[in-house]
Amino acid sequence: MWRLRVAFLLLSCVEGFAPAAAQTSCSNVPAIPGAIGYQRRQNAERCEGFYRQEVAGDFEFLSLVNGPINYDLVSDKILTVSVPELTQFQAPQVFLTARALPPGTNYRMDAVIAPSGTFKWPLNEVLAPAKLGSNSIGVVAWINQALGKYYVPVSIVPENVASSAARPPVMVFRSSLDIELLRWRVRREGDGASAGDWIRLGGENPAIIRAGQSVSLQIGTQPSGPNIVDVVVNYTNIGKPETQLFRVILP
Amino acid sequence: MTGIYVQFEHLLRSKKVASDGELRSRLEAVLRSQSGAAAQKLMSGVPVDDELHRIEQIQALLKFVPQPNTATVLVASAVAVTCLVVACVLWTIRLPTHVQMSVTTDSVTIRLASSLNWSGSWDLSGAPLRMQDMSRIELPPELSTATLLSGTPWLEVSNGDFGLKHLELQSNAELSIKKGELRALSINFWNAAMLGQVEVFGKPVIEAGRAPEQTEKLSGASFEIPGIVTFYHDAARTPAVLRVTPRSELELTDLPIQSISFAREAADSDTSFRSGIMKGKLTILSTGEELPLGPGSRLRLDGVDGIISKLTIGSDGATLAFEGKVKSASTGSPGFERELQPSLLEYLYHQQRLGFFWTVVTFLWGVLWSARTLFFK
Repeated sequence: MWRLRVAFLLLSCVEGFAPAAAQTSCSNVPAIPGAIGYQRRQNAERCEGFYRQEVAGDFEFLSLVNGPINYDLVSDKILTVSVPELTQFQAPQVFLTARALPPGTNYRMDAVIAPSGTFKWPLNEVLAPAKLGSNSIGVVAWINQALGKYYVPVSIVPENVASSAARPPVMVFRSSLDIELLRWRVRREGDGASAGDWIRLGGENPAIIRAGQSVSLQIGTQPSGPNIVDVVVNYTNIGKPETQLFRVILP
Repeated sequence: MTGIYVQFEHLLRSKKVASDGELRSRLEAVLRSQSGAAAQKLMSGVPVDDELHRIEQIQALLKFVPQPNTATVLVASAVAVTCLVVACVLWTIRLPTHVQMSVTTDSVTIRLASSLNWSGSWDLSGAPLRMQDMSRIELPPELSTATLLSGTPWLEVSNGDFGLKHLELQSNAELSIKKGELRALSINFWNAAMLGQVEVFGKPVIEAGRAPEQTEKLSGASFEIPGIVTFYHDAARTPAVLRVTPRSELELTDLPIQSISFAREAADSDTSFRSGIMKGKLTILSTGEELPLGPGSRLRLDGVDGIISKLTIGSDGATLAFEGKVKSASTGSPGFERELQPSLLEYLYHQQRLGFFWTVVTFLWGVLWSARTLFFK
């Protein structure tokens, strides 16, 4: 009997017996010690907590959410994250990552959920103890396809609050360098003619975007389906601009 | 008393006594019969002084009759054969071994044990860049209204500035790097999905097509804002090819691999394949043996399970540092290979720590045993 138990334990350590969302590995993130350290949360399909920052990216994509995230750390207990229908993409899993927007706040939450599904995100384990309010959190969700990550805008509302319809998706970025000019455009994937003019963030005389400052782009008026968001940044004192390409499935 | 002497006399004079062994066995038989008779008498309450005296005499005689050594010889031979067999087995069985190597090569093929995700900037604008046999290529919208090319698309970029910006390889992907003429490199990918991005800047000349014999009509765009070309290859066996002439080096770190080979086809060689190794060093960690690798060293590693801590790809080929376990390692031309992984005997010979451990165990046992004898007896 003990052999069977050992075999079961070994098998469950390898694969197959764990819930689908547990495929997210919590061990790749250097966690801080303690209850709010990054770890797999008990009876939950997510890894969440604070970690030690080792390497920061130059230009980070932190959030793609329908409208602003809005919750109250005292009165709200659970957030509901909803993913739109993605039946035409044959994606078995939607990956979800939440991060803190302020630089130096090394918080993240990772989960894997089913397409068209919802995800329950308790506030009391990390967000409330760490006092991370709704203006400090960004969430991205994506599916993996042949040409890489396809981001999908998610809706995040407190439990028992109805999701308000048709809120435009907002992308949030952060750079570790000062940006003197940020331009962007949205085009349909595969259709070069749909690429419009570049939009300059901040108009004709934009202010410098300081390192660590988060930047929001509202991309709501685009056609539904797979789109490409081209973002071009001119860093201060660096001559050549840098282009980043993000594939976004708009509802 | 006289009876026993008669028996001895009979024994000694007997023509059948052919050897010491036979004499000894007969004496032992007499001893057994005398012992039996004495025991019978003793149990019947009869004195056995005579029998005991005879037994003492037989035992005294037995001391002068040499023992037959046939059995001893047989046992000794069996032990010797066993020792020889064990030593041969220890010498013959070769163990999987840990190796460490640093190699500079103009040809290397590796199979990844886990996925690779690299982002950075690899300047490839030294000469035209060509990619072919991809599954999909996506062009910047400045070049065409139909940006997505599928089938077996190809693309060539020359002039301007361009470089690799992103590369993703799935687990089990095979990657082959071969140095060609004029500092060009040919990088092939197959067996698992590959995704990459090339950034184009300035006024590059770009040509592309959905199939090798077909060319798309592209606009001659100027890229004041860098454009991105995305290329994808599925898990097909037919390799996707990237021909580049790098102006800088691409550095990939911590690549877990399942196989590695330095062989490349050589049309003018008798053996069809030659080694691309230019220089390097291989260390067998289990024994500490170091093997310098010169130009063309035919090094074969099978059953590889290790990590390339750094792979640098430049116009001079590839330089890599590897450490891991291999099931077999050999060097030398076909037919004249030398096995490099140590035999069990060599392994044990070099295990200083293991030897020291058993020395300590034996020493401690000796100390404790002596203490026991000293204090408890």
